Amino acid sequence: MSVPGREPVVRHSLNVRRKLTRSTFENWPARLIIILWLYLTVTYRQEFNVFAPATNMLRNFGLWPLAETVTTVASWMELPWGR
Amino acid sequence: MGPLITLAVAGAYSVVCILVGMAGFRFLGSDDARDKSLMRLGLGSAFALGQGVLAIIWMLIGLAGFFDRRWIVCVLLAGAVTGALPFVRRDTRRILFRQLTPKLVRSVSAFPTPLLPAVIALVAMVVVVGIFNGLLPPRFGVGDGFFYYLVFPKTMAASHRIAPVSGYESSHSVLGYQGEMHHAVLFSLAGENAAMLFVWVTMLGVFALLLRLCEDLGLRPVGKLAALVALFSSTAFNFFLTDGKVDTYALLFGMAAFLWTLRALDSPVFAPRLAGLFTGLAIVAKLTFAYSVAIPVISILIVTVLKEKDARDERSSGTRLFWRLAGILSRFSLFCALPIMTHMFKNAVMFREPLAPLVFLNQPISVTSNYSWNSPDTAKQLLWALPYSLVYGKYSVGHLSPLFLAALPIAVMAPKSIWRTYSRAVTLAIVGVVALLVGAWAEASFFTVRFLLPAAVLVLPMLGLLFQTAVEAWVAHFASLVAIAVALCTVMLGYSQVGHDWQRMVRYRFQGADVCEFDTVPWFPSSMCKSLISLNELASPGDRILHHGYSYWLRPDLIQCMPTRDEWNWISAASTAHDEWSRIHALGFRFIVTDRELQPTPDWLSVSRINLESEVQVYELKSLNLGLKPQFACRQLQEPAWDVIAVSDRT
Repeated sequence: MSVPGREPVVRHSLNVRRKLTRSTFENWPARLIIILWLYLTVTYRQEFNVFAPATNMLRNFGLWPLAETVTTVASWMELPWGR
Repeated sequence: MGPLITLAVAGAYSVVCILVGMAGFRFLGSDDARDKSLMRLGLGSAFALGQGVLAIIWMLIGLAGFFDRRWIVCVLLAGAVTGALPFVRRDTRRILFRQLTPKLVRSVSAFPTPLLPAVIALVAMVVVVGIFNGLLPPRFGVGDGFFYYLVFPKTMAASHRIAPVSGYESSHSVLGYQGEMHHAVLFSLAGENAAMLFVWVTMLGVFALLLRLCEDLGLRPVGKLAALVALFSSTAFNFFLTDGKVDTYALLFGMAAFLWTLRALDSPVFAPRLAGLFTGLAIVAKLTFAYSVAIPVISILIVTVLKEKDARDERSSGTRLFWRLAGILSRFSLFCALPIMTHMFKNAVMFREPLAPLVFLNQPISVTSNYSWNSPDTAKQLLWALPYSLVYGKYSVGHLSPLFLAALPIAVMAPKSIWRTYSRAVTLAIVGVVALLVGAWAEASFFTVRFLLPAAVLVLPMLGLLFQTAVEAWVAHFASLVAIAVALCTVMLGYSQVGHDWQRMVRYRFQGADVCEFDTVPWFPSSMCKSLISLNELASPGDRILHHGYSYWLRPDLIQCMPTRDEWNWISAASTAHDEWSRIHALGFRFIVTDRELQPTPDWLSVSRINLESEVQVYELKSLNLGLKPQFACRQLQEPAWDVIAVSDRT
């Protein structure tokens, strides 16, 4: 039995959920853009150079080719963390 | 035993803050029976209120000169008993075990599995920050902890009274005392690590208030997690958790003010009082929060009441609405003024400058005189680079988390329905963004993001909501959720200070480095700390040292006997080198610490270098003319405090 006054709220939230799942938000291009931008922002550190310790860590784990690839590509792109 | 005592004292003090806050809630009165429940009021709010009240009490006790352990313990016991009586009477177990614990379990189980590592990482890092704060010396080179904010409590704890830090009577000493008071109590009871651990507890209080704010706005656990990570990874926040500065205390009050502002309609008497009180405390704790807390709070109050008009039927007349708004704003203003008045009282008693630091009645000083360090070109560049300059760059000590920028595409692509569903979070975010941008424009010449941190905090619920929307929409896409979890972990690892503090942990606790082996900073002579500590061995009690700047490492008596601002002015007004030496000698200085060349010394004065450090020189002064005696000396007139007094020839 529905409680008077509560039903529209429930229906509204269901509508929200339905709209969410139907939106372009869930499509892979949207997800790709959002995730790429997310990684760009959290790894871009102009002064603190977060990729330097990250690439050093890769080297320490014996993954130096991967580390070199990252820094080389980054320097081609003139990104600060390629330094 | 040391760390255990630190933990016990900081823990007990935190509990007393909460209990005093609970007593404060009852004193302020609530107009709703629900407000009497601890769950409704929240531990974070109680903690903030207790902190504010206790800091004012410590300040008054310090002004009276009774700031010794006996009085401190008496006040703490009285506060604990006053707050604990009704709390104990109520069913504590019901609150802790039947409400808090199931809520915590429900929150954790609500996370999608791929996000659980981010939750674990956040909890682990928060715990680790607490361990570091409890064990390590304060961090050097970020804020002004060693410069002022730890020097003041150190001398207050040793002298049992409030006195301005010598040399900074017209600058830092005229600012509000909030965090400094708690530091002084904890210095007195257990030492500097207890004070640092209390900063960590205050950080937990900020987190609790942020969670409560997000909950009031309808966010679910994923949104709360994103908001917490964004705050924790903001260097404008985390730089000041370990350096002894007091910004975290001010943010706690700002957060509490926002929380209670949003409750103004539900509780039109109690909530505006609390919002006003917390706003006043935030302004006292940090003057720049007059802009980034008070103006947003007033804006939100006005918008909330006006929105209520839209939501209600047409009969709610404009006049009635006006009086309702006027009532809320007047209660807010009245309670906002209370902490500010205590601050004015302090400045009137100590400096005869009740309006300082805004207006100086007796001195030709302007509040804006020290606030401009960026060139016009740099200021323009910072403005052009908004909002990126709030997140990246080298012109501010501390920035916002990159997650603030990361949420932009989600905001563009998110379904429009969330803006309507979460209209209150949207209102907060709009107020916060406008305050951030206007504030950044106004302070471009002294660009400091932490001054605007409360405005950024207003955006956090919206930021959390956007990440929550993404996670809920992508629940079927495991890889995307993993990508978000990894990004959250990356930003926490990359931008929190845990990595840096781990290096300090290795250095101090495992390699046995002494306290002076902190990070080298280009603008600071690394041998200063060692030079000052060596002076502690050489100098007798009450010796005067001519030194300006970082003095934390000196003994408390030597700090109290350092030159005042007036003495510096008098010395620098000397017309010749001989006159300058005469004045230095007359003021009774026995040692000089400097990194500059000395002026040529007169025949009657022996100036001999007594340290071997290259960057900082320490000299000892001795008069060769026995008839020429100093006119001033540092004495204990009221033990254990030291004062500079004029001395006659007979003494």
